[in-house]
Amino acid sequence: MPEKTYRDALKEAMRQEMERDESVILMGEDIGVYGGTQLVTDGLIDIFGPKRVVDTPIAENGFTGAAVGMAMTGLRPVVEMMTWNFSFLAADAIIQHAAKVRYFSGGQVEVPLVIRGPNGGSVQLSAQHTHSLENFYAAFPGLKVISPVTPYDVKGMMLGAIRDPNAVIFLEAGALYGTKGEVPDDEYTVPFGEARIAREGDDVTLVSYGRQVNLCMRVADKLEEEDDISAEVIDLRSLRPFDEETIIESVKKTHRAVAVQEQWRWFGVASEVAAIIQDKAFDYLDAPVKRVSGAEVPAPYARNLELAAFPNEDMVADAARQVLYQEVV
Amino acid sequence: MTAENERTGDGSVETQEEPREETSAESRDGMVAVDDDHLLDLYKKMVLIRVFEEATQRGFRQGKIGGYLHVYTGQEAVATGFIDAYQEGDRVITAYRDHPFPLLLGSDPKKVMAELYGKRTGIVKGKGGSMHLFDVERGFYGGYGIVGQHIPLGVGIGYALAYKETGEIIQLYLGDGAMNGGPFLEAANLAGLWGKDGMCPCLFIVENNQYGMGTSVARSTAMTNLAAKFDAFGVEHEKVDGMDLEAVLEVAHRATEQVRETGKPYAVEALTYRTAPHGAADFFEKYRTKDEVQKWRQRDPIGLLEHKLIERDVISEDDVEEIRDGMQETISEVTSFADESEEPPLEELYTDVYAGQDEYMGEE
Amino acid sequence: MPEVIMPKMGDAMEEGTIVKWLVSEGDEVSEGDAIAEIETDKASMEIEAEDSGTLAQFIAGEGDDVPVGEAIAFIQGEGEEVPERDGSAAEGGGEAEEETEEGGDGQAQAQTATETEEEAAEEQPQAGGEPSGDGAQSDGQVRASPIVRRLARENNLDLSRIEGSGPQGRIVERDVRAALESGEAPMTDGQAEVEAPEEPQQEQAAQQQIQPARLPEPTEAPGTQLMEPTRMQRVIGERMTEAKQHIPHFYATVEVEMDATLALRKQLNEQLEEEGLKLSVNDFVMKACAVALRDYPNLNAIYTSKGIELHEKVDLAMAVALDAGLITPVIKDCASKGLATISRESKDLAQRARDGDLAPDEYQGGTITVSNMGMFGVESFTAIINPPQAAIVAVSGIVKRPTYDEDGELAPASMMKLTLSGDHRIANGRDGALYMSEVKRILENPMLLMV
Repeated sequence: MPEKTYRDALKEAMRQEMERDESVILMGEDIGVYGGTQLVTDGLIDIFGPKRVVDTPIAENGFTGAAVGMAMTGLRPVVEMMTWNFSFLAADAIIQHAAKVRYFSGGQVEVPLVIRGPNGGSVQLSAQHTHSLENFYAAFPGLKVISPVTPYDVKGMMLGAIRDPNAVIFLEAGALYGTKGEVPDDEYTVPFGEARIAREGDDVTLVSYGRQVNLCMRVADKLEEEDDISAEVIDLRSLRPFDEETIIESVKKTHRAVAVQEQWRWFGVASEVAAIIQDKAFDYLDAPVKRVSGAEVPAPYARNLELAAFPNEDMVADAARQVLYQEVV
Repeated sequence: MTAENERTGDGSVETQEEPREETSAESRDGMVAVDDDHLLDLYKKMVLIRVFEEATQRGFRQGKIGGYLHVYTGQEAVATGFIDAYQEGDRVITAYRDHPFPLLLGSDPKKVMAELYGKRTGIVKGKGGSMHLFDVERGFYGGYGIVGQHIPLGVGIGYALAYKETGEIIQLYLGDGAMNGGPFLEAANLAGLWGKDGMCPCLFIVENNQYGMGTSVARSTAMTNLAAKFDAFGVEHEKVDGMDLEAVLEVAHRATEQVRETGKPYAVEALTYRTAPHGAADFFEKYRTKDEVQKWRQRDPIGLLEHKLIERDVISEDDVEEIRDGMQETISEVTSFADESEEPPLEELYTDVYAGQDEYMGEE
Repeated sequence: MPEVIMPKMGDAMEEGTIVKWLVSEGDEVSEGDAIAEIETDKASMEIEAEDSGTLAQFIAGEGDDVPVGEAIAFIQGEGEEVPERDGSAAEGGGEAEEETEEGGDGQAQAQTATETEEEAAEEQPQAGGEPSGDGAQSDGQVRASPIVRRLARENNLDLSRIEGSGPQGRIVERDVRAALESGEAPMTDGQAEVEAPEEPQQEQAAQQQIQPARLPEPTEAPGTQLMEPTRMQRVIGERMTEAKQHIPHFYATVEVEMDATLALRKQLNEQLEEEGLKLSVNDFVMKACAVALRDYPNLNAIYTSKGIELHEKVDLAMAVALDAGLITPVIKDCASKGLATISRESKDLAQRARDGDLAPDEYQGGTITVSNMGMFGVESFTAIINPPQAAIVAVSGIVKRPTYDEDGELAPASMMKLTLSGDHRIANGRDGALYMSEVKRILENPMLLMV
């Protein structure tokens, strides 16, 4: 199978779907002539023209709201947030309109809309440009929230997102556009609401999503090497809908779980994971579920402070050892 | 003679079936033919809206209508005039003062009232209420509750219509109060921009009723010439006396055709006045004097039209009485229907959250 | 000696790859010359020399990933020397991490300040491998993880006797697994009952963990003696605790004038003397209790996992006191049996109960219980429901007391108190009251027992 970057897999999904379906258009700031700040849409304007690859002014609320209207009228817009940090400006369009209009119209309209862009920390972008917004958007019924980490998943889930008749919040792992993986040339979709077991194990379940999955994979290797601990790594992939079953089945096997997220701990996805486990796998638990999260501060600028604010291998490994009642160095 | 909606004996409005080609043809000449029969029909629609809104206020006071209730009383000529220029396939979007639109577009008034009563027979199944009426089949893309935020949606609808090369346009209604917020500014900018390529057949209709809730235009902006604000975005515009149906009709047909032909947006500021309170719960109206309201009532759009029709011998004083009584009777049936309808079944709680799946995907 | 560093060419760039050196070691380069082709995840471009001189040394090789800001080469100006380097930098870059941007994680390991490590520090003293002895129950409760409690239930383990190795002596899965594998897992005392798993009541009792409540240590004072509770005592204790804790009891007491019954009994016993049979007052009471149930089916019921099972036949359990405790043998279909039969059966069952000769099916499956303490002179008492039954009738002694007769005159009468305990989940007070008044009516008109 050919190897492609996360970025190219994403672009390929959009290109294939645009070729297949004329109602698919792209919108966003500098996605056309400029090629996109992450180059995800680079070259597409040459193929599809400016009516289908629409460069917008810097007005997130306006163009996201317009995309909602387009979606209600039968187009399938894919809106790029240059980064999800700017989506607060469009929150009314997304939350108050895209998520709800189907409900308050009594089912008379659909909003087949994808809003995509890099989510989570990058490198030294500091407070206003470093957010993980998955819990924020996943809190709203009416939205679907996707967070793929592998190039394979990002293509399959983007195809699925564009074809989905609902508003999909597509959170790309901002730091991973250059990572490579096997990606088929053909069209395929990866279903929403099905977690991926990224690594099988018996002793402890590490639950995460987005780029933290890669962190968990490294920790799992380390635990195996250093402590002969067999860790299972679950990549949620999709936060709404949410796959409870895979987590519960895993915890029934391992009896211990650590939920890892880059975002702040309070009211986050990891808390939801912990709540689901205590609710549905209580009798199988051997230890309280641990959460590993980002530091409770706005993201700092200095690199050492920034790294300290994100979860790292030691934090995850220590949490895993704690739930295994092992000595933590 | 323009094609016109068929009316049933009881005065309720039926769906328009025929495209109004004649209207289009004539209005292109800039000569809006509004014969007296047609005016009389429109007069009846305005009375229907007025009587309907009076009934909603009664329903609100009786506790049968919950939530917020914003009535269109005093502004009838604006929606009635512009919807007269509506052609099948066109879209209409507005904010929360939305009751007249489905009524004018041919929705069953019973379903509209039932929605306000929160019943399963409501036009959106009791899930939206007064602020969220929709009748997508008839082109009505909804009422929205967040001031100004429907404007980007409307502009996007315009883009989609142009993209699909339908020849259809969107009528986008907004109030004076929506023009000071970001969504308007962003959306108007997009409309002007896209319009350069013929990609935004959007007719902005500013219903300037002179107050955003209780704050007058003059207390909201230093630039009180609202139509002129569109200059900033390269959108052509004009003003019209929104109390004079004939004046509104002239502009409506002309502007509609222009937008349809060019794919460019156009804005009309209709000066009007809400003679009812902002919301049904807005009793005191500290922001305006009784004298001011009284003065505007003398320019009531229905009163003005009535006067003209009587002067032209189209109707008599007795006819006026008869028409109003007939509407009262119709609306009393409408109200009974709403009152007697069942509440939505509880299963409806979890439907329509997501398209493509009947069952809600959230927590069981 | 100017270094050529990996330049930052984008806002998210953390490292770049040397695609190709465009010059060779030893070449003369001038400021502005393209010297290498660099690739990031977003683009590839040439980098230029910022100084002139001899390109003295490559620090990174082609294909290497180099963090932003790190040297990739040295340019030697006139008179400068090349510093000693061990060359490892040029070799180290071969293994590209799959997630290049996170390559710096290791640096942060020593300097994190977030919750996990803080918590780790807090828990560390307890989390050490040392078992903490009786810490598992220092506050009177066994600390055990949910999976441990589940394993204990399934394996009849007595957790109070397992040492926990978790924080505060929490018993964790590995402790139980170790105990099970060692073959020395402490069983609960109910374990013996498991041999007869078809006996639901006993199995239920066996599965009850013996939870040490907040009990004091023995005083061991002179004049005290420490006794191990018998198995039966434990089982009874657990079942009664269970019944008292889980069944919402209600009570209804009636006082019955027993003169008519006593007269009838005397009369019948005279006739039965030849047969060697002597009816007891309790035989009458049991029969009356059984017969009266006909109209109150919800007091002749079993509270099951799936709902309330109403029984047509009255299988009446009678409480028999033993030295070691008590047992409740059952008179089957008591309502349709005659007094003589009931009398014979009850005497036989009571005797064999005392001898320990009852078969399980003789003391199981009752639908209601009658407990008589009249022979001990008790004037009034209430009994604990015998689960899963719906009711129990407590029978007190007959006492001669002055009563008012129909004419309002004082007259002596033989009075006996009956107290019903009912399960409020199955029946309510009204049922209980009506049922007790029916028992009273029958006993005060004992000829009704003969029909």
